[in-house]
Amino acid sequence: MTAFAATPWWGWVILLFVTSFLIGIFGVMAGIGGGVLFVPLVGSFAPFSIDFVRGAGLFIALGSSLAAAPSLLKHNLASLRLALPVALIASAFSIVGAYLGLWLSAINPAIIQGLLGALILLIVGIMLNSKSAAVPQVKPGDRLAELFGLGGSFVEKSSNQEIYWTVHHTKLGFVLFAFVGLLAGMFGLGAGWANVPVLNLLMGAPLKVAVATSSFSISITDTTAAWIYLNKGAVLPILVIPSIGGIMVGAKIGAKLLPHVKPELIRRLVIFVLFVAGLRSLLKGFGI
Amino acid sequence: MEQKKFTNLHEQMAYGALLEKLVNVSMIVLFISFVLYVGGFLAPLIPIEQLSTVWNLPLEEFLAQTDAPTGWQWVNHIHTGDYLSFAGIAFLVAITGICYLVLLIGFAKDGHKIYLFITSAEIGLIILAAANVMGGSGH
Repeated sequence: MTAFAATPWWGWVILLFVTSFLIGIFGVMAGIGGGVLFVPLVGSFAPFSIDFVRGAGLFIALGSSLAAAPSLLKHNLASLRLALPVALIASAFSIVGAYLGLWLSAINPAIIQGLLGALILLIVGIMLNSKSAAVPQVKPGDRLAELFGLGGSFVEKSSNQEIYWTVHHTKLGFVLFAFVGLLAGMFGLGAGWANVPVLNLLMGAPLKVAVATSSFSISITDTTAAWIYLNKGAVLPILVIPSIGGIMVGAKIGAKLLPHVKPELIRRLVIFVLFVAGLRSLLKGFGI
Repeated sequence: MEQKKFTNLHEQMAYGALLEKLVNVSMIVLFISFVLYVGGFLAPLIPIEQLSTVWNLPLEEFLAQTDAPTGWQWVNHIHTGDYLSFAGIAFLVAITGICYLVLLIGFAKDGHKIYLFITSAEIGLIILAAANVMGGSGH
């Protein structure tokens, strides 16, 4: 941090834009949202208070999710039927998480920094071990899924086939979304890392639907937590706006570069960066 | 047992179209307000040079030192560069709520009782969070 002490304010604006721009590019290529990279990286290596960094992380996740959602909804990849109930549960708990995070940080910011580091290392573990299924087999007859009408259809472009889908294990899925919302509000993370496995592996939504619905539902979940951060004054426009701008431009370029790169290589690189940032955050939490 | 076939909600397309328009407007608002702020065209409430000496402080300490507004007090400072940008951010956060209001009308017309309930509950949560009823500015 001392190396950056002489950096003028406009230098930070440029650095935030460039960092978010790179996060946008690599995040898209690695298939993860921006907030999960932004919060540990900026929180560990830049001079801003972790409260403002978590606030900015939420807005980055919200901004990218809002920007991506229209196209995902129009192509029937993001499902309103699936997103509305899960986002309701997650956003209720994201309010609790936002208050809990700000309360813990008021006691001692090191607590939240250390917990964030531990969570990021857990996410690294999940990412290293995560599997996915393109169109999982779903056991019919889930009562909650039928009650809410959780299902839909989309056209698989590679085969030009209309794929009909529904979900199962809905009750457990809803419980897990409560936990995901809590973490999203508490740490300012987008939570796509948790949404996708829950929707795809547990509830059996096709992978494309799981990824798109996760991305869309973040725009709802993070809205409630974002209002808390705004009301508490934990939002600095000078930090948030260049970061949103950088990540949006980066994500667009990342999406264009995607067909020309090896996603697995990028994914490993991002996991490594995440591991370093998580470890740094954990150590910072212990005052090391 | 055969898998039941569900159709996508037709409100999904209207939601996507409205969202796209609102996001585009918010990006323009964010860009213009930020240029006015950092370009020095509108004086900020907290001078940027001062801000860069306190942005490392925990929130409570930051608020005590800068006397920055909390809750909805920022509306009183919308004529300043930093809080005009803040308003742009608030607009971005308001987008989901606006889209949900449109959904609510659609579900009410179509008689989708469950989704009407879910949408109303989400709007209630957004209002609860936005109204700062649980937070109290304390400042």
